[in-house]
Amino acid sequence: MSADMDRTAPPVEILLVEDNLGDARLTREALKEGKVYNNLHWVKDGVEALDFLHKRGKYKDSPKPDIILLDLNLPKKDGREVLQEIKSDSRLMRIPVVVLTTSKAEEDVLKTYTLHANCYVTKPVDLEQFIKVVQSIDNFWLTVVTLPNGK
Amino acid sequence: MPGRQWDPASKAKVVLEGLKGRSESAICKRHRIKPAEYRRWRRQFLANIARPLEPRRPSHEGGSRLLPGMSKKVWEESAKAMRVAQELIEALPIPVFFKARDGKHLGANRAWETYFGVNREAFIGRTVADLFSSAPEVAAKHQAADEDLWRNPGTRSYELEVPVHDGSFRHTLNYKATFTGADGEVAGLIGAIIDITERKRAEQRQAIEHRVTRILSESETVAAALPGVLQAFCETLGWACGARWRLDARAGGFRCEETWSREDPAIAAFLAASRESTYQPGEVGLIRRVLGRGEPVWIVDVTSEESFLRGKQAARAGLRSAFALPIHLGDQVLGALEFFHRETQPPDEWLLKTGVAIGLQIGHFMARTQAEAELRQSEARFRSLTGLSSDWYWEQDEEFRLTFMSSRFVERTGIDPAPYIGRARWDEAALNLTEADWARHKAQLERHEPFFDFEMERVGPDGNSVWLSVTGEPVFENRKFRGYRGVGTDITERKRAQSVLRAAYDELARSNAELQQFAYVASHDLQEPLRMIGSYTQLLERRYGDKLDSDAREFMGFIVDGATRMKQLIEDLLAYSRVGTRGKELRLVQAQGALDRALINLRASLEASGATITHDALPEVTADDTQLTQLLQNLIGNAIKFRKRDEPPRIHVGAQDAGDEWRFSVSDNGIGIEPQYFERIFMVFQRLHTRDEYAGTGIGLAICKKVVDRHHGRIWVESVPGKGSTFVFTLPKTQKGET
Repeated sequence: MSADMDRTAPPVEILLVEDNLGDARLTREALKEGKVYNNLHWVKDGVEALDFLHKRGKYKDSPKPDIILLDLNLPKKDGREVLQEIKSDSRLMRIPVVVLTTSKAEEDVLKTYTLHANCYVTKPVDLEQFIKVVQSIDNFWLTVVTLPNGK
Repeated sequence: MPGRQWDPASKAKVVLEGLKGRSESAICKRHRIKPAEYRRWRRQFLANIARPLEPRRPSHEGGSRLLPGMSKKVWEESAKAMRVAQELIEALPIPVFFKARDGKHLGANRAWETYFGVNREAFIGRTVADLFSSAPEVAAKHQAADEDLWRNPGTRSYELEVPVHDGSFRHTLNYKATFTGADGEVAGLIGAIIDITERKRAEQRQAIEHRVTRILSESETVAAALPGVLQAFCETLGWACGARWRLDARAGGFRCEETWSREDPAIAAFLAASRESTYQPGEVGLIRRVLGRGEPVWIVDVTSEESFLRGKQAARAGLRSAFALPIHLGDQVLGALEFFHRETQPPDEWLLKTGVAIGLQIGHFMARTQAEAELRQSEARFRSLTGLSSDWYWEQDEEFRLTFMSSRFVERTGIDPAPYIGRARWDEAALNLTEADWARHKAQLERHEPFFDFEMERVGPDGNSVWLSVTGEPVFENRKFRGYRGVGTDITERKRAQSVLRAAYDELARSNAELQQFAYVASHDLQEPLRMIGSYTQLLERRYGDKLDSDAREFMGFIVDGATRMKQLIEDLLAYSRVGTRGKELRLVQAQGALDRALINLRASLEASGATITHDALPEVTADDTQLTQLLQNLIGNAIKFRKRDEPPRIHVGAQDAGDEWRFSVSDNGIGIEPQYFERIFMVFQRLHTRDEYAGTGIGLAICKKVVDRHHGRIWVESVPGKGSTFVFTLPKTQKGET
């Protein structure tokens, strides 16, 4: 995949579900340094995330995201419930979900819930690593997922 | 005179004159015969009266026995009657004798001869004074009885103790009857003697034994009983004094303990001397010999017996004869009884037998008092033992009905045992037991098995529950089941403590779970601020690095490094806490599989270090295979990490069958460990090296230990610094369950 192709393609709609301002900003910064042309939509809790996905209220006109970056520890409705609703809704279940975890241990635990997340990513302390992670999402998921849509 | 031939009848006529009262001198003068000849005739005549006429005697003698004035027919008849009487008398087993009016013996039967040991023919013409020359008082009593008979002819009977052939005194019952001569005058008496000694002695012995038995039954100790026993013996049998000797183990000999005597200062002095003596069993003396032989000893005269050490005192007390007999308790001689008489007494078998019987009684008494004392002691021991180990004692009959409950039951539990008496244990409900529980207990009792710590929760008088624990064993008498007996304990306090303990355990388990949760949450939430620190420091450096000087960049490097390390610590702590909480069930797994996975995980570092791994054939073990993999991985990983710089690591994984457990080992040729750190290395975050030398947080071996602990095994290290280390861990072959 080349940078030229990216520019010609429509922006990738990314939904970031993250209550932590710092993490949200880091994600934004990392994506900024990436090569992918994207629209980052940021919601701060599970309820908002589901409103966004179901185009409710102020999200009436929001686009259907191409990928969801989902933090688990959220206020109001936590990430597990959000994931469960997404995967049980036929219109949303095909959207890839990347679960952002704080530790490897947390990932192990989550896997036991069989929540059908497409990918788990442990948030690194190291910025370089974080950027690599976000970029790997760029390179891999967006390409694979957007190609069918691009037809 | 000389020349004159005296025929037997003429001789008898002459003798009869004398029997009728004519004096010897008158007769001799009248018939011109010598007194000696007269006496010989008389002797012959009298002997013939008492002696049965033998049928084979020459017949010419028989025809010449006519008494003067007696027709032949009368003579023959009377002679025949006399012959029968004579034969009867001779055959009688009791002594019979004849005396003339003057007290002179006319004759006697064979029994008399044997009884007194006197030749009856030689004794004709002698008197009772001759017979009892050694006992004039006996002769006088007989003579007095005779005098009475002469005055009032007829029959008499009286008892008298007389000396007989062997010098011993016998009790006799004397029957005497007068007879008349041809002229109708009293011519003499016939006497018969019946020996009633045995009867008398049986009575005496019975009397003594009865008295002794009564004294012993009324006494609690031998010391209290003995004076009375000695008195009974002495008084009944006429002995002057007696004493008991007792084995004194501490003094190492026999000591005189109790004494009895009639009021007599001299005898009291003798007994006092006795009490100061101590004797060892020996071959001479009185007490010494009795104790030495265990048999009775009789000394006829102690004053002339040199081996009798108290001879002088005895002589001063006027004591002559003595005998002593042992007191046995089984085979052991526990002591002796001794008695003294004022006069010399010939050895008396009967007396000794009587004494031995009393000795036996005393022995039994001592055995009984000793047994009673032992029983009391054993009871006291039992009481103190049950008092220590349990609260009360109970008994049940063969129908399992409670028949006895010691008073401690109510004292301890406050429960009145009365309603339980006569009823089985299961007749009263227990809060903690179901019908099935009772049925099991009942079945056990019906099998007559002992039972231990059977717990029942009953309702106490205040309505609170009382926990009882009973232990019982079956009782058999002659192999027949008689019921149960046992002890009981109030375990209410124990139960209360147990429930407190259980609550504390539950609380601990809950707080442990909370702690696990806390460790998880804490480590999770700690990550976020760390990430902010690390990430934004890096972002700063990235965006504005060219505007910062080298110091600022170095400082920011430290910040990032610290945050990274902190994250690793948290991750390790989390891994450590997860060993206990996130473990899988233990099941049979192949250790080889775990080793293979560990080696795959370590592939990069194995290749980088050029390590050589060898291993034994590994067994099948009961384990959590993920944790076993981690365990082997950590140990092998350490072996690689702590290798020598100039030598590629050689690592061997061993497995040994050690009975009920497997013994695994991971040996290396690395840098080794100082012995003082053998314990410390298994503790969380304990490191022996700086991070510059060897990386890591120091969690690896702590996790190993936790994994091995969870498998109920042990882990330790054997090492020689500079030579290498061997980490050994054991896994039990059978696991009881998970912790």
